[in-house]
Amino acid sequence: MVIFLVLVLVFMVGLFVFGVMLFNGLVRKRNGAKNAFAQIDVQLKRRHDLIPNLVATAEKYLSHEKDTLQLVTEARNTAAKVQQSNHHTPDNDAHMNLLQKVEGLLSQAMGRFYAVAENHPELKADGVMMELMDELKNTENRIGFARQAYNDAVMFYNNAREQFPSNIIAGMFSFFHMNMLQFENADQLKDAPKVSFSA
Amino acid sequence: MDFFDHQHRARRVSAVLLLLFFLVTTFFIAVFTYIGGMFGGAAGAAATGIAVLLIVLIGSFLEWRRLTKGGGHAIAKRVGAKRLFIYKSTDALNTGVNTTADASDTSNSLSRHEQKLLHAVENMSIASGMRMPATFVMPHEQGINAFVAGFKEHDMVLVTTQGAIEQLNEEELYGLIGHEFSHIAHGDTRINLRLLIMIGGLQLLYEIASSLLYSDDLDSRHTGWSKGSTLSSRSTTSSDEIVGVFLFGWVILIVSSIGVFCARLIKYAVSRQREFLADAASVQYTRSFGVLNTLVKLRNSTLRGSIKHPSAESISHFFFAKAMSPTSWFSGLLSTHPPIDKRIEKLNPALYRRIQVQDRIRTKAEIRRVEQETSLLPELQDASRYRQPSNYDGKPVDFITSNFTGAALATEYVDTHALSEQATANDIANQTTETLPIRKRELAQHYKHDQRHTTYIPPFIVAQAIEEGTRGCLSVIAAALACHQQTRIVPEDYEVSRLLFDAIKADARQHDIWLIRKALENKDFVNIPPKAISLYLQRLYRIITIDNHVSILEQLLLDQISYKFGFLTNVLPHKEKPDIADAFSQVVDAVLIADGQHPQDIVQIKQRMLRLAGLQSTQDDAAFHKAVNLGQSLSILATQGDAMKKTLTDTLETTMLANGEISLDEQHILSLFSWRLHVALL
Repeated sequence: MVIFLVLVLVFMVGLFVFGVMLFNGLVRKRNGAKNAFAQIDVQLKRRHDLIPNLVATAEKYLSHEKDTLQLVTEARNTAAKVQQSNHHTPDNDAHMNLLQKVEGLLSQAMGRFYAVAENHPELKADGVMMELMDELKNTENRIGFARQAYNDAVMFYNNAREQFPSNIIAGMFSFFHMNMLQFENADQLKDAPKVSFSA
Repeated sequence: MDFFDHQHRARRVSAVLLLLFFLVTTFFIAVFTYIGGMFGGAAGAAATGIAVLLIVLIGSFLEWRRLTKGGGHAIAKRVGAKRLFIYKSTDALNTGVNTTADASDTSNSLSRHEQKLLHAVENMSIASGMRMPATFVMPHEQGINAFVAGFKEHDMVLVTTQGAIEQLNEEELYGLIGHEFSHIAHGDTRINLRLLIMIGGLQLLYEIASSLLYSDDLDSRHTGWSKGSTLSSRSTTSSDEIVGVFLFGWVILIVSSIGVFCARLIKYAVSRQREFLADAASVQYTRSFGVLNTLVKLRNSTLRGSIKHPSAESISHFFFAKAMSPTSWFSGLLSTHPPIDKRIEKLNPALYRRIQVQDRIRTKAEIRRVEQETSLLPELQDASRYRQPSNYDGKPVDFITSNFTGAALATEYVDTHALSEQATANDIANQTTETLPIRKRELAQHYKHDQRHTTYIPPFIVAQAIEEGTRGCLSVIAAALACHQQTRIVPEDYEVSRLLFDAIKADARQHDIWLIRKALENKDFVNIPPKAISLYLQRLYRIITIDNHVSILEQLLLDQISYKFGFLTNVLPHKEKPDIADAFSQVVDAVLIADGQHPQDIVQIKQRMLRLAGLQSTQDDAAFHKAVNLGQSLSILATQGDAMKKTLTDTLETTMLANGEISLDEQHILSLFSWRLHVALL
């Protein structure tokens, strides 16, 4: 009887330790994903900070392309507002969808801006302009890599959250599902030309 | 390819190997305890067990101290790497205050390639979620390679070779950097460190056992007479005890050496698995097959991942690809990296098969070429049909000893044919290979007197080709130059005769320069049409630049070959006034690099030598080297006055003493240099 009790005790302690390990693993993965999200934030913020400078510099050359510049500015402001909102966490489904949408639109506005800049050699000859555009493209690259790191981290977290046996722990302590980020969404690209901010 | 799955598998295999490593170590400690028990019962077992454990721990500790001393930055410094700093971090944000002049400043301080590298490192650090390591470049390495070092996160360094950032395109560079970041992210340097430390522990046990066996102490006990007063008491021990200690020592020696060997095998196996893991992780970080392209490029490049720096060998386990080439299946077991082919196959089996098919097609073409070549030169194949000299005694014709008079005559040569003003230029041009003149008597003892040339008999086929005439000589020159490159080249790609190449390569390497100069003594080169000569010179230039680097010796040889065809002219750079100091400084630079001097020492020695020659360098080093090449520098020097030329040659001779001796290569450089300065151009 005593042996049986001891065995049960040992089993319970083992189970508890195993549970703690699973819990810690989940926390680690969740924090990893959150950190990766914060890294995207850093790069997004950098992009939002660079764009007003770019627009200010380009205004000298693109007086007849006001529409494009307006489009870029509006898209940037909307995106910056979304980023600064209180719901800015990776487990908020609606907010993540919104973030994807506004950043996608900003990318498109920037795409149009680059296309316009291609047609204006004097704009590209400007040293400050060149540097800003290099920096912005570099930042866009970094956003891509940061998003990829975030998506990988989310995948690992979601795998742990949904796989047995850690899903039990995840259910007990309400580890929420996180969303992956996809800025260059296929159907958004189709929508984009219809959107007009000047209206 | 599912790179997550690949990573998972590599991780699992290395986990199993790590466990195995641990088991082997404990197993051997247990074996020792058991042996101790055999000799001294339970007490002996306990004593041996504790002693062995202690020794292993102490050995590990010592190894740990040795390996972690200095950390990543020290290693980067040791291989002569240059650190890249990010100058512009936030200046683009406040361009309002920033002026365009500043912008051009920042781009000047880093080359385009270096900026590309920094971008790749930044982006990969974001993609892998790691902190950005200090980034270094090894400026004198043309092979494609990279490594990370350091054991703590703030001490991580990432070092790439100049060849990597120059030859790889953006995608491939990302692949390479991604691979290295995997080593950081998965803590491979730490795993490596731990394994090395444990091996260090077993190693100490081995060393103690061997010193126990071979020490004077045991000797004196064994033979029964003491050497010192401290041993006198022990010398009375019984012979049974001596045999016991002897046996015990041998058992420990054997068992610990087996232990060290097993531990090494496992360590290398772990290291190879981590490379596969890093390749797969690189694909994850870059989301492209950049690393695959890098591997394919590496496979096809002539230099592969070779690192010339002498410190490279001690840190070879860090590199992206092997810095040294493997020799047999056994060295495969003891190698830190899996073969490149295997890595390509793991990443993309279909591509690997395609490469193999291409290889086979190429080999077939090569065989056909060799067959054609052999049928063209039947007399070179058939030894019985050789034209033999009258005094032929069964050995290959020894035409070189007949011309080479050796060191004794060389000293005499100083007086009679000294490279003084009165000796005519063409005289020198014709005399160069026969003796290597010693210019200053007081330096004579520093000359490396090597008997190799005097007793050297070139391979039969080479001797015959030189005898044959112009065509044979030209083939020998090309083949010897190709051998001189010391890189893996396919002779057929450079229109070099495979027969001659193999013959020269199989021979000792030291004679290739000598053979070139021997072949150059052929008198009737002028009969070749100019078009053919120009094509031939282009071919030689292609061979010389295989390693992306023209050394001073290669430049001088090329000059002499061009001179023989009447193609050598003094090409001066497009500058108002050619600067002799800078020209000479570049030559000295090239000599010192060939001498294997450390980059920091080069600057100092160069300054000293310029002062010695009475010159003052006016320009910044880096700016100058971009403007003028070695050939132009030599042309500038050749247009100076005779007294100046003499000073320059003397100074160059002194420069060669930087490493304490004047090697055969340096003697070649010196005699070619004085020839180049004194030769009269057509």
